[in-house]
Amino acid sequence: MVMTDDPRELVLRHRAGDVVATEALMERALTLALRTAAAVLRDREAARDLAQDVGVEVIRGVGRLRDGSQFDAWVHRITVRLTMRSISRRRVEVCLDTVEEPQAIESLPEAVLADGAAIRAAIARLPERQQVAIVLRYVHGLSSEEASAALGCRAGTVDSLLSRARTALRFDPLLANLAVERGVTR
Amino acid sequence: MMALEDVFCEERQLVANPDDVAAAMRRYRQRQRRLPGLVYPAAIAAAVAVVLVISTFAGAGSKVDAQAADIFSQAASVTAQQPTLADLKPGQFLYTKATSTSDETTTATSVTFTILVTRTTQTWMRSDYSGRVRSVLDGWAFRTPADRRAWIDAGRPPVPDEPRVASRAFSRAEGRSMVAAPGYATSPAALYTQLHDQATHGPWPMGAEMFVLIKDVLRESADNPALRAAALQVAARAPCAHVLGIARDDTGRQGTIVGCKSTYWGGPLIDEFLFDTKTGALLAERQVRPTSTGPELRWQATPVTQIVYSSRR
Repeated sequence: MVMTDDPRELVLRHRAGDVVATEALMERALTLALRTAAAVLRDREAARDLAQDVGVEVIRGVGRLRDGSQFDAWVHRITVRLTMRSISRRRVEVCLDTVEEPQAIESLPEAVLADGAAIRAAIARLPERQQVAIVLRYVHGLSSEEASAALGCRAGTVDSLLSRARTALRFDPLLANLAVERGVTR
Repeated sequence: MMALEDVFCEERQLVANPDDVAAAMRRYRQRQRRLPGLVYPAAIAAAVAVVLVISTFAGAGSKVDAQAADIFSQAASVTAQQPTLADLKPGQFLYTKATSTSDETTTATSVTFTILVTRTTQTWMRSDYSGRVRSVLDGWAFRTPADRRAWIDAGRPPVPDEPRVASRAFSRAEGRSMVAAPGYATSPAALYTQLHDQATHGPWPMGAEMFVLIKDVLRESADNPALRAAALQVAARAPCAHVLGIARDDTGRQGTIVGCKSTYWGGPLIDEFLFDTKTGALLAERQVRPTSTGPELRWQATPVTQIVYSSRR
C-alpha cells in the first residue's frame, strides 16, 4: 500500500488497524512536538522527553479525533499545554540587578538577531504564552488563526501576544546592551 | 535579510526518528499499567489550599481615577446580566465578528520596516460550543512612508505570507476554550491574584501588563459573564486607567474610551477600551502607539493591535 502524508487518511487507516499509519501519525506528532519543545525549552533531551509525552497523549486520543484534517492543530494544542506546564515548572528568574533601566532598540538589528543564543535567552524571559506564540509563528509558520487553535484563544489574542513579545524583545535590557556592544545605535 | 524565524532554523529541521516513536510507545504502555496508582497524587494535589495575596496594581498610595472606575463598574454590572450560549434556541448561532489590525516588523540587512495587517475573523458558534471560524486577510499597509522606503531598500520582499481566506470547523472543546476562559477565577479577588502573578513575569510594567491581561480575558470570555464582570471589576482598581474621551469605532458606534498609558519605560503605548456610552457594553479595544504628543491627536495614533467586536444571535 502506498503511504500518504495526508493526516485525514492516516487517521482513517489507524482506526482500521493499520500499524504503519499509526507509526506515521506518531512520527508526525513527535516531529511537531519536538520542534516546539526544542525552541521553547532550549534543551534537546528535555524536548525529546516532552515530545514522547505528547506521543503518549496522541496514541490515547487519536482514535477519538473526529476530523483527521485537524490532526496537526490537535497535536499543537497538546504540545502547547504540556510545554506551558513544563516551562512554568522550569522558569528561571534572571537577575538584572546590574542592568540599567531598559531602553528600547527601535527594532532588533541584524547584529543582534545573528546571536541566536541571546535571542533565545530573551525569548525565555517572556511570559509562557508569549513564548509559545513566538514559536508557533516562527518555528511552525502558523497564521494567527492556526496558532489560536493551538493556544485555545482568539486570533486577536495571538496578535496581541506576538505584538507584546516583539516589543518586549526590543526592550530587553540584555539585548539592548548587546546592540550597544556591537555598535548598533538606538 | 534576517528575521526572528532565522533564529529557529535548527528547530525547523528537527525530525522525530523511529527510536523516538518506539520510546513513546513504550512510555504509553508503561503508563497504561501504572494508571490506577495515579489517583492518589491527583487527590493530594486537589487538596492543596490556595493562599490569596491581595495587593494593589502599582503599590500602596496609587490613586484610582473615579470616573474610569465608574465606567468599569457599570460595564461589570451590565456584563453580569449578559445572556450565554445556553440561551440560544435550536438552529441559532452566536455570531461574532472581530476586525483586528496588528503590526509586523521585518529586519533586513540595514533596514527595518513595519506593516499593519488587517484581518477579519467571523465565528459562528452553536450552543454546544462547536462551530465554524472564517478568517479573511483584508489587507495590509506600511505603517509610515519611511517603512515603505525601507521595504523598497530591502528588495520588496513578499508580505504578508499567509492565506487570504481560511475557514474551518472547530470542536466543542476548542470552541469552549475560545469563549469560556475556563482557567480563570470568577471572584474579583482571586482573579486579581491570578493576573497579578502572570503580570510579574516579563519585563512589562505591572499596571500596564495587568491591563493587557484583562483585555485578553475579556476577549476570551464571551460565554462567561461572571468572569467578564470580575475582569471589569479588577480593571476598576487600575490606577493607570483614565477616561480619554468619546470616540466611534470602525462600525460607527459611539463610546467612551478608557485607556492605560505605559510611560514607565519610555513606551509610549496606550491600551484602550471603548464602552458604549448608552449601555456600557464593551465595543472595541486597541493598543496604540501615539505618533504625536497632545491628547487631541490620539485618534491619529498608529494602532499596534485593534479589535472591533460585534455580535448577534
